[in-house]
Amino acid sequence: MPDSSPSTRYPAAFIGRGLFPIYIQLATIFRRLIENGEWAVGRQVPTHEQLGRQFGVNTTTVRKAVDRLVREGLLKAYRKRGTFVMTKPARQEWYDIPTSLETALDLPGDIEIETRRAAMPRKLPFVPTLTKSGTGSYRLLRRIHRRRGQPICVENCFFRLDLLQVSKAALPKRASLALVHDAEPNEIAHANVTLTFGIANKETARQLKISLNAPIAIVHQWATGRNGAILMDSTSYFRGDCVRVFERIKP
Amino acid sequence: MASQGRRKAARHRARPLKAARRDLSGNGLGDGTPIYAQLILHFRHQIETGRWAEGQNIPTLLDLAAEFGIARDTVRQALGFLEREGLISSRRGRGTVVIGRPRNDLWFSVPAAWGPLDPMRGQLTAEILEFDPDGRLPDAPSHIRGTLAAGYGVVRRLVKREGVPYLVGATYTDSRIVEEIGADEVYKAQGYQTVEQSRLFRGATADQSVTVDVADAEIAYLLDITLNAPIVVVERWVLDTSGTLISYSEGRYRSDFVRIERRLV
Repeated sequence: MPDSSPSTRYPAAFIGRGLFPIYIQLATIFRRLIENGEWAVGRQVPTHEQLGRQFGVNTTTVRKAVDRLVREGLLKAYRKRGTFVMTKPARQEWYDIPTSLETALDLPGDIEIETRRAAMPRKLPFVPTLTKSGTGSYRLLRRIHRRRGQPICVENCFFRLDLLQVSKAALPKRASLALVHDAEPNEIAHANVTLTFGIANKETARQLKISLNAPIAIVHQWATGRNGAILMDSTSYFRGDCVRVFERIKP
Repeated sequence: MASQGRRKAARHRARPLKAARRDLSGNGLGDGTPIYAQLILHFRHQIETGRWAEGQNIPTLLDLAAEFGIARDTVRQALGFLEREGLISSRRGRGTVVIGRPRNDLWFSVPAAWGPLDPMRGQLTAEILEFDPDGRLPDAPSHIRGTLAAGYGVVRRLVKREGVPYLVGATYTDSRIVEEIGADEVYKAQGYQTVEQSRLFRGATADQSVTVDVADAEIAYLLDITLNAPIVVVERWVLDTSGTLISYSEGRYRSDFVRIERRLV
């Protein structure tokens, strides 16, 4: 039996506004209904006519939206029997952004980092902490974090030169803060992490193999030594669909 | 033609001043932050520091677009935000004047402990989108933690600050708590904090996760952002001493001004 219960959660009023074609907008709603289990896997979805009435659009628009999800493999249309939910949208595995020293030193086991030396930019407007202590004694490394070959994050990390004595073999398995900690475990006086969110520009999209304007998380991590000078300063661009910050907030 | 002359002048200025656009990111924002969001922060800063003084006109749209080497529409979008916030007012033919100073930090910093999730002072208004005392928890895998209760009271609301929508929140409260404190209380209470009023909250543990998603058509409409714009999802689970999920709440925020800051050492 088709599930024809009217959903009060998605009023038709918002459909048709904005720059995007109506069927694209409708498809985002259908995807959410499948994600939330309101359209359960294995069940039949309402008919095109019912959906057209519910969202105040014509059945051709409904069909285009449904076709989109059929192509994604979430729905399947059977001649005469109707349209059924095949599966929920696939989720990326989470990459937990460290919010404590212990987790920051410990790279997830399935992550491999490719490290390359990058040219120091002449101006460093985007690293406010670094400009204070001068740029002469730092080195910039570009580090690409991959999980089973798939790029998860592109990191630009400035290290104080003398802290980079790590062997080539150890590099792929050590987080940037851990490299500093390995060299001078007692030197880190203060370390911070800040997360903000944005969208991928052309360069980031290409490096992470995601689409332009896809959501990204920007993780800024830095550590200072006893005299207040910067030991490392790292900015990472993560693909948004796998980043998570998970914390126990009430023990 | 005066306007043509001005356009020419703007074109002239555009090249050397393109550097100014890069400098915008000097405020700790990476190049992934949408330009209009960077502009909002920059313009607010101009007003905060008095460089754009109250009662005085700010540079024209054309000049600002040229200064940062970006499209006028982007500048207009940023100025529109400040206008809705009550910081500037544009008067046809007489330019845009500063009429107020920012009263609070734009950033919403996600806390690391149980406590108020609405740290932004200022005028908050909530509009109830959905209320169902006998609802259920959607079975998205991420929602499930612990043992599920028999049923959940559902409240979904749109929260605006200074008239600007910034959060769509949904709270699912164990039916036993709805019964204990009354459906009216659940309706009135502040989202995830409802659970604090219950005896089941004693000794309960809570977890929080922050993830990124994109706006579907409904969220885009409610938050006044474009379809597929990034949104930040803050979820909270409360488990009572027997391991039952007594409260689940999910907040979907405009991502522009949400941040998380933690001290590691």
